Amino acid sequence: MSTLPDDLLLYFRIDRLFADYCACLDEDRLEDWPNLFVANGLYRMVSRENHAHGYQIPLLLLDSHGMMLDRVHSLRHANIYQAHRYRHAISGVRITAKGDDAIEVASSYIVVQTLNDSFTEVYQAGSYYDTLVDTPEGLRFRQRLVIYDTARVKTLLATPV
Amino acid sequence: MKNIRLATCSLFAFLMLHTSYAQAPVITAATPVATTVERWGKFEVQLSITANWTNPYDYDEIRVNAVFTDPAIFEREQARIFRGPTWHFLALDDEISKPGDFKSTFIGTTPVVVTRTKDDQLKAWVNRCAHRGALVCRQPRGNARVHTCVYHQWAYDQEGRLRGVPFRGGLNAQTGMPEDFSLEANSLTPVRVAARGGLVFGTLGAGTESLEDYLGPLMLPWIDRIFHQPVEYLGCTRQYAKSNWKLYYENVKDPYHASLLHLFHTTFNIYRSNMQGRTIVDPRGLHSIITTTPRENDNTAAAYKAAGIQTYQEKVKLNDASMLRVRPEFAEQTSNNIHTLFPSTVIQQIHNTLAVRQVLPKAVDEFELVFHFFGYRDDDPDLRALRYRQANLAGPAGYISMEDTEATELVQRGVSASPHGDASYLGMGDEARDRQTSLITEHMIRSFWGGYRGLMGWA
Repeated sequence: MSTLPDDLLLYFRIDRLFADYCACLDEDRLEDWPNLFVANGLYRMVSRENHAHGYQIPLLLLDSHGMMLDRVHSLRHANIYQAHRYRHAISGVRITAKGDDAIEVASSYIVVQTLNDSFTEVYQAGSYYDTLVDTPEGLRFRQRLVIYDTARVKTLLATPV
Repeated sequence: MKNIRLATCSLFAFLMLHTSYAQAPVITAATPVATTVERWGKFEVQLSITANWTNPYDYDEIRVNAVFTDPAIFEREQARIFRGPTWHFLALDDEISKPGDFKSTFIGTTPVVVTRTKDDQLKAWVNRCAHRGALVCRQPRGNARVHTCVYHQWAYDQEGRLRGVPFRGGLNAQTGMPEDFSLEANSLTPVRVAARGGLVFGTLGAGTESLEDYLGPLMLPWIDRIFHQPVEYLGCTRQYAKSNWKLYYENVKDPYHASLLHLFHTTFNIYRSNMQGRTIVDPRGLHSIITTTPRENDNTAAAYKAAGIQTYQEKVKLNDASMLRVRPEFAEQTSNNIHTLFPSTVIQQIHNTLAVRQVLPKAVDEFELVFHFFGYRDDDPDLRALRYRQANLAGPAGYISMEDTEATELVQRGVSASPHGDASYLGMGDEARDRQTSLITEHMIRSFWGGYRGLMGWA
């Protein structure tokens, strides 16, 4: 135990990125959320059922800062849904591959949702499969693939997971 | 409020004397509203059933809150509608494209499996073992030659015929099944299947008319418009609403709400109430279709702005409008085509996003909504990518659909508070019922309740 694992610093930087990600979504800082992606980054949310069978239809597919901001603006000004808060819990973070300019990271998440007049309930569980790149601003998502296990979306999904 | 309502009824009845519905009794403010009590099992159901119910458009008396809250009415629907003379979407043909492919689904609350046999026949059966009633098939989809119940390993072929029972002949000195035990008599309950243009439907009713007769000549051309070439299944999304399934049917038959609840629709010109529209109902009131087609030289934005309608928001602009690009693929490129087939199927075309929505009642105040997305087999890569991109519009997270389940839950919460209360006012477009071009109308909902009431035996 005398030497530190080579990846310790990298794991720490990933942990900070994920903490920022959760803070954006859980603390109602949605406008900051796209900035954790590179400009042409991809956010794609697909059910486990579709993913397992190779069907590609997404629940959400946002592949630019513009599309991500549009989602946020639409939630702020256009869409109607019950006021709610998420709390993310991310665990089992693993670096699964290292390339020249990017790393692949897999993790598990649970999101609980609290509607403004109700109890806290488990809203969704699933996996994140990420491609992360180093930028002058720090680690950023080139791609976040969200594979959700929870077959049924409870009522609706407004805020990204 | 009551006076206004009754006055409207009188006017309505007056109008009907001049239409083919001339048999309807005239309702006046003096007509007493009688209530009757029906007993189903342990439940007593109080309904405002009057002589006026012979009027299929008597929406005032029909939409009592109990139809959304009473478990006995829910059970009656399962028996008379879902296990009755109605056809239900089971799958896209492409979901079960190879011999042995199967999909597990429901007709109402009845679990059903639809499969393609080794002889390339489409078959379906009730997913309930003839032995003890366990679910036989436990996978949502897959490929199987034999379906075996895990409980005692009773094995069924693809057509649901019982083929094997362990220890049927006993074991050594232990006796088995009685001598008169018949494999054939213990097969799974068959479900009648009919296909049209890549859609597979099923019915549990013993004497259900043909699928074509059921859908009728007014509705079939709209189905054929979408299913004119082989389709490819692209995946599904599922959502669960804590509301009665009929509230969703009201929603998809309601063009009135579309430009008011869904701001995204209006702001980005996908749906506005002065587009060229169609609101066509089949003569029995069961099925209907809404289409909208943008007009050339459209000045709707100015009209909405002038009227001060809050759902038009100039400040909302898209940074990346790639999602709203349209690839014309129909002779008339409707921006919306919401085709509602009673009682569990909605065919959707919104721009280039195509889906079959399946409505699965789970309890009197719960239903599941499954969107089956599809494209055409000969989609080029650009068009296919556009369909994936436009999936952002519809589904549980869709820009123009997420509010629908929310709205049904709001109504459910409201009506649950007074299950025997005075329920609703569905008068929009009352005086122009036959004008099937108006998008500001509730006539499709009124017709729905007429068709529903007939099937429930309350006509």
